[in-house]
Amino acid sequence: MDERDVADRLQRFGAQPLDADLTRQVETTISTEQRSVHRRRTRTKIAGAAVVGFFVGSLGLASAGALPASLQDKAQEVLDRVGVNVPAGHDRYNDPTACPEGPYKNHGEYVRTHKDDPTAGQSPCGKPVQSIGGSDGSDASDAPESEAPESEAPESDDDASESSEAPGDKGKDKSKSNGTTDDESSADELSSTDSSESTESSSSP
Amino acid sequence: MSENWDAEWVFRQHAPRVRAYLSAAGAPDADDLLGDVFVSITRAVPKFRGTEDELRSWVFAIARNRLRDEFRQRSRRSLPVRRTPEIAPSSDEPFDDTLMTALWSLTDEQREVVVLRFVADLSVEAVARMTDRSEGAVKSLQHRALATLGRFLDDA
Repeated sequence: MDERDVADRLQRFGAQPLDADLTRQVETTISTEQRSVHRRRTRTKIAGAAVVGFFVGSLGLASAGALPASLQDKAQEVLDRVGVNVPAGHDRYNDPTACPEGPYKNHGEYVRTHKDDPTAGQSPCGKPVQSIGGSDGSDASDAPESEAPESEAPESDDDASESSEAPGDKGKDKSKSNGTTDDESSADELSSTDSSESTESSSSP
Repeated sequence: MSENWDAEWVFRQHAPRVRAYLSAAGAPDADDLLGDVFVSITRAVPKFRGTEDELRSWVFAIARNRLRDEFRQRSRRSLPVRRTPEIAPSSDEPFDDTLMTALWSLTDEQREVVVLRFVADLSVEAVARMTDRSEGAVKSLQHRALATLGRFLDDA
């Protein structure tokens, strides 16, 4: 038998049709698998669409400034990095008289801009208005210091020098009072306080 | 030209030769394996892009890999790997028992080449690519295999 005959015989063997039962069986398996592949692909598409929808929706809400304040601030911070401008979540303190070269997106930006100013950290510029307790910057920044003496105002004149000091400073002054020079300076302070109070009391009606 | 292929069409077109290939290559259960092969094809065919010739090579590459996996699993589980052709194929046609026996007189390399070339009806180039041999090596193996089969069938 020559090579061509053998090759023909092998090809005839390969071309034999499948029996009907096996064909039906495998076709059923294929259609079941096709449905499951289709379901998997549909699920993947839905999940992908949900993720895209979530991001588009979030971006839309952020653009409209409709997110909760803290989230809006985060969205502004993140989107600002990719060059998308959205409104901030909090109103920032940006009084042009107190905060030159403003407005500032946040307090950090103000501090960075005024690196050479040692008091920049204490400034309310760029801070959320709610956190500094008012819309007027000068009042807000002075508030903690100006309120303390007023609350202790009803105390007697003898205690006035002590009451004007911050609680933390009291201990320091007591420890210092061992030296004569300190005693003298504290005496000077007492006398100057007394004199200023007496001036105030004399000027008042 | 690149086309999208439907799994059912691929099955109708290629299942008989895939079944014959699995059987001639010594698959332990060719019918079960045929189902496995076409499940894999059904999963992967939506992503396949290629011509009809490329599709044919791709289908037989899947069948060959599935068959090798089967042999590997059986040897790992110490199950017997049959080294004789399947005697009862799922076909309505009369089975060429002598030809199947003759195939097992060949070396593994000769049998693989001759089955892929004529039972699967792949080109020399496709067989060379699939088996990682040169076209010259495929032609040489094919020539020796056909000569051996011819002698075996003359004696039978």
